[in-house]
Amino acid sequence: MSAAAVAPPRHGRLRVDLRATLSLVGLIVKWLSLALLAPVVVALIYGDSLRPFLIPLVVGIVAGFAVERLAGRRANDVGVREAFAGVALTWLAAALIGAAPYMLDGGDISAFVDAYFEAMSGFTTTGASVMADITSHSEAILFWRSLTQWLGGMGIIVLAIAVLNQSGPGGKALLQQEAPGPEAEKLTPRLRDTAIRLWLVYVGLSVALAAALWIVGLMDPDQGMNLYNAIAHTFTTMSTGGFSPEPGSMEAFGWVAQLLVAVFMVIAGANFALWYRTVHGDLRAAPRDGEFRGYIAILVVLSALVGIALLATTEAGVLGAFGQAAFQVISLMTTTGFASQDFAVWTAFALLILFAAMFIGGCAGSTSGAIKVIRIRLALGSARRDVETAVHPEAVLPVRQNGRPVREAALQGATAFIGLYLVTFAVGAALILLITALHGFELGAFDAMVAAATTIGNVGPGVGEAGPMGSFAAYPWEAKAVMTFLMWIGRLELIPILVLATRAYWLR
Amino acid sequence: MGTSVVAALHAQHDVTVLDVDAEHLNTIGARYDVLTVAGNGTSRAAMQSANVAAQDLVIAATDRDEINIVAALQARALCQGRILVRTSSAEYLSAWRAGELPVDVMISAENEIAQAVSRALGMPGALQTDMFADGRAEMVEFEVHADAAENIVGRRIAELRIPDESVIASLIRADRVLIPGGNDVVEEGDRIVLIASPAASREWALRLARRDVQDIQEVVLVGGGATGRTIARTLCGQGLRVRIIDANEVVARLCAEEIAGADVFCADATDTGFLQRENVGRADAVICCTERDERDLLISLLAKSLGVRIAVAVVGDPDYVPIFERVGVDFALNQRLVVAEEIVRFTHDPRTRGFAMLENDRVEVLELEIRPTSEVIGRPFRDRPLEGAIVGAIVRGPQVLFPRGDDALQAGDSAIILAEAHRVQGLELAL
Repeated sequence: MSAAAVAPPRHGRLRVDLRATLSLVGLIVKWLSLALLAPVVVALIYGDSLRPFLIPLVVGIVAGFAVERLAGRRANDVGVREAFAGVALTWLAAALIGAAPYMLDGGDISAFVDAYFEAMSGFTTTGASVMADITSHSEAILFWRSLTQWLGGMGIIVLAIAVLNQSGPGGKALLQQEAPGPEAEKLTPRLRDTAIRLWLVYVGLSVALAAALWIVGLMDPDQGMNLYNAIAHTFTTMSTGGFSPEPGSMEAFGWVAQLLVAVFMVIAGANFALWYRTVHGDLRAAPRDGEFRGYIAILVVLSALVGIALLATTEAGVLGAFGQAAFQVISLMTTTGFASQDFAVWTAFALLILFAAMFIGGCAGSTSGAIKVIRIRLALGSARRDVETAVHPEAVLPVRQNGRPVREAALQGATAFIGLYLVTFAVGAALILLITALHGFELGAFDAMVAAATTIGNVGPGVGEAGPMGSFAAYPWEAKAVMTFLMWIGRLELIPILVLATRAYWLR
Repeated sequence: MGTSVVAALHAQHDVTVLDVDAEHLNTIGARYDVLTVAGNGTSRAAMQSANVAAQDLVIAATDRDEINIVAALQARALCQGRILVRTSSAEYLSAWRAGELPVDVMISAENEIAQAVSRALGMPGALQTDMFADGRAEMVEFEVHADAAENIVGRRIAELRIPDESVIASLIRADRVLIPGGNDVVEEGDRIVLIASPAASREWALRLARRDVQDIQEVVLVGGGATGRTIARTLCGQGLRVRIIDANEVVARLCAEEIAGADVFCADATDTGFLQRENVGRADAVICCTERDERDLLISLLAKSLGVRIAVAVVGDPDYVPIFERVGVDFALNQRLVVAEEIVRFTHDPRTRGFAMLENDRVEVLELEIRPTSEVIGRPFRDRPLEGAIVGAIVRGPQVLFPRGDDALQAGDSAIILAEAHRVQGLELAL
């Protein structure tokens, strides 16, 4: 053998600081586990078992602490590149904490796939459920389920930045990867101040809604809107999550509670930066904003269309038809997923509109999922320009948003995102159909498409068996796994996860 | 810019020129009888060596706004005189208007040009218009055509039907400036200078305009530089439909982003295929303000050949102005001349309010407050109290009068006076 042997193939060096990334994940797991104290209190009040919460509480803190220490780096070392993996892993880990109580409780979702599905559905504020029988679960478990949505709504990382002051060089990038919408908006010079303010607005609105719901419950005790339900529904309204401890969702309550919840769903589906400005005296902040106006316009138009369909096909009066239509459009477009009626039995036209609403979503910087109104506006603006330049090839037509010209890169980003979103949705729907077919599980094409759209858009309810009053419990476990993945990738808006699948991310 | 100002000022004033470019100073020093000092206007030492403390007026007119402002601030600290700053920024201009900048006058070349273009388009047929007395009186110059709506060629001034609120201030024939009497006869190609109320000048415009001239509604602007954008913004603000053409992608994009009301095209305006495709010939006016004068000329003529009625060119070289107008460009405007006019206005007696230059500064129109001790007070205009000058309008409190032979000036009046430039200083003393 010659000494000048072939040089060993050069392995690409890993360019991602995995240890700092893990350290961040450990740190967040450690603190997030403390949230399990809340259901412990509920369990004490209702006399439920404490075991499902205390074990993950202890294990979570110890494991988080251990990972953070063993990683040997500080979470502050997370840079721009690590933000992608950091956010993706944090959300996977959070769902593990979320799943533990369901597994330990031994109910109908104690299998890992089911528990993890339910937990991912919680933190991603989806609201899709695999609980075959909600009434079989304890108050504490259902409270935890609602709480995971509230925590996930404004964002786990945003919470970590606000509470822990963890914002190294990658702080802005972390926020960027987690925040819904194309661009995270800083309200203050310091990232931590922004995170704190956003959470304060979120908490403030939540307190207002909970108090209002509780008062409604006190005035009409027959409704069943007690303090527990007021808090649980507040958690899932403000986060546009949609879990309800009631098997009949919002149908269980009167029109006053439904109206309140509808109004707050609209608020939660709008940009929280607008509410921050409103609270600070700029009362015209929301009405002046182009995206907000577009959002309201779409809500009104879709509600009217569904209302007309209901008026034509049901016995409901004008008020009933348009009221139900508006509630359901708001609920699905803001990606909350509450039901005031079993809309799965509505006419095909109404279902089609609701299906479309699932793709739209709320505004950037809200707690809602799906594509978001801003991206749709940008893509439409870009399309309209293409039509105009067909006639006037030399015309220079910047697309404007709130009177300001939008960068070309942002336009391309919006169109690319919509394309990726639809492709991911289509692949997900196809996989669900394929898996169910292999299992001999009968599922229509529309049902599969709704299942994919409702999970990638973090909406929640499906149609058919998985309708708003039912659950995805009967779906094969592989289909549940696909849907869990869709919830995760949908909540983080595709890019941070798709980036992880590229060689360029890890090695270059 | 400075050279034009020096050219306009050196004859009547003691001028000191401060410039970093020593060679440029040599040229100026050789051409004009002025003192030149080499140095940076932002430097306190240079300011002192130019003896700024003793000056009545300091003009900061370099091409860079920030240098001008810093120089002005230095001057403010050193001297009691008035300070005039040239800027190209609309923001600095509005800051000055809001009283946030401690200078007496701020002049924007772009703004002055835009105003000049707007005036030219607003009064089709007029060669030049200038406002006086807060817009209550105007100076307008028309050319007399035989094919005008009302043909006045060959008629005596006394025979003309002169609207009440107007005065014929001057007739300009070839190179002669006449202060007209009733027996003077109007000839084809004469330029008639009027001082009139806005309504009366519009009446004159309708009478003297060629029959085919109509209102301007659609404008094509070629060249999206700082001047072009300011013009576009001004015209858009007046409700005109403006299309901007610039061949540079970055500039075109900037125009489209800055001026939401205008349609912007990234194209070569000499491309006749493009001009036809976008129906440029249907526009009422074309305004050319590219960086290159020869392109401006070519595009103006191209547009006119396609059917555009009025061509305006913003010319870089003041010497080209008459040539452009001779070959068919309706208005040739030069930034330096326009700004120099503004600057010269402030070198006048502080009583001078409005000011305009005609015929390359051979004739000036100024608005002047009459001193109570002036000897012309009470003398009727029939007696021609002012040698080589004519009073076109009198601002008396809230009223603006357009005097006839029996009228006379009173103490406290302001008069809008047309005079030959070399008589202006004497006139200011007499009044």
